Amino acid sequence: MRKDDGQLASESTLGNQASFDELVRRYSRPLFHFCYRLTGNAATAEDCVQESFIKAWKNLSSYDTRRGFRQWMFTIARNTTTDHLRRKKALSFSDLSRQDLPFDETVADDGPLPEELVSELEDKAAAERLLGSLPPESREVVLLHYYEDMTFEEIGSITGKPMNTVKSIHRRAVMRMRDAADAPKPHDETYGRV
Amino acid sequence: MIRNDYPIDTPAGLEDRMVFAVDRHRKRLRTMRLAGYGTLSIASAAGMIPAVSGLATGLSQSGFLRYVSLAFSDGSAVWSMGRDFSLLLAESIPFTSVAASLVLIAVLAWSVGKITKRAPVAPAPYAMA
Repeated sequence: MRKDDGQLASESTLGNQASFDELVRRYSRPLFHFCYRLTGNAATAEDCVQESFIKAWKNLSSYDTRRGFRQWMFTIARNTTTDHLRRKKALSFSDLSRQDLPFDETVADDGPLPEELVSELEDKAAAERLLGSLPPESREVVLLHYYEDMTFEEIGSITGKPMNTVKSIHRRAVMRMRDAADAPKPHDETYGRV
Repeated sequence: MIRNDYPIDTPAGLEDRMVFAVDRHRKRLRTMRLAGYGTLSIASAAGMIPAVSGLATGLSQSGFLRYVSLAFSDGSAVWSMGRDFSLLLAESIPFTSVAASLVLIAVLAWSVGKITKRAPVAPAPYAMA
């Protein structure tokens, strides 16, 4: 019978290497996807994922089994990727930590994505374009919410932001993706015509 | 949730590489641990030789052994002297040598304990669904 993450995580904290290896296998792909979207480079993403797993293994003794392993693992991956990008100076501090939202943008909106955007995100080529149009802090919210099925509360826990801030970021991301989806595409034959 | 089909292709063999990387890190730490604590054990064991030798010399030169043998040979005299004898005994202890020997014994025991510390026995592998 397949064990759930909590069981494997508990066994890992007791020193069961096979259980931790199973968790590594389960989370390699989701974490790679997440890190790749933040770094834009497959090799860098793989390095970040590797470093994240090593950090997780080293800090198993401090893992709180009451907290979801997925949430914990994504927090480590997010922090590892952020540190990596800062070291490379590829990311300004404000990109992932912006708190100075205009008043009207603090209105939370946790409504679902419009259907047309959902279908675009399911299309690989379109998803590349849409996700690429977003700043890093919006991108990570979209990735965690729509690809990892996390709640805004969980995302807030991972990113260290209040839930309403996450919802505001989500709202802005939806607006930007809508604009990007509506923008003329490079192969659009009507592009440039009066 | 968007269907679980990420918009980018996962590099082939990613999971195996990650497991291998963690395992390699584990082995490296184990080797460093063995080397570090092993060196400490050998050093403290080697240090025990001069420490114990110095302690024995110190005990005999200070008169401690003489006073102790006196306690066993003429107990009544020792008892009558009471507190004075106790102070005499205490003053004759070579504290530096005793402290050094005890520290080395403690370090040796601790480092050997670290080397021999074993991870808990892993439960039997579960069957995949």
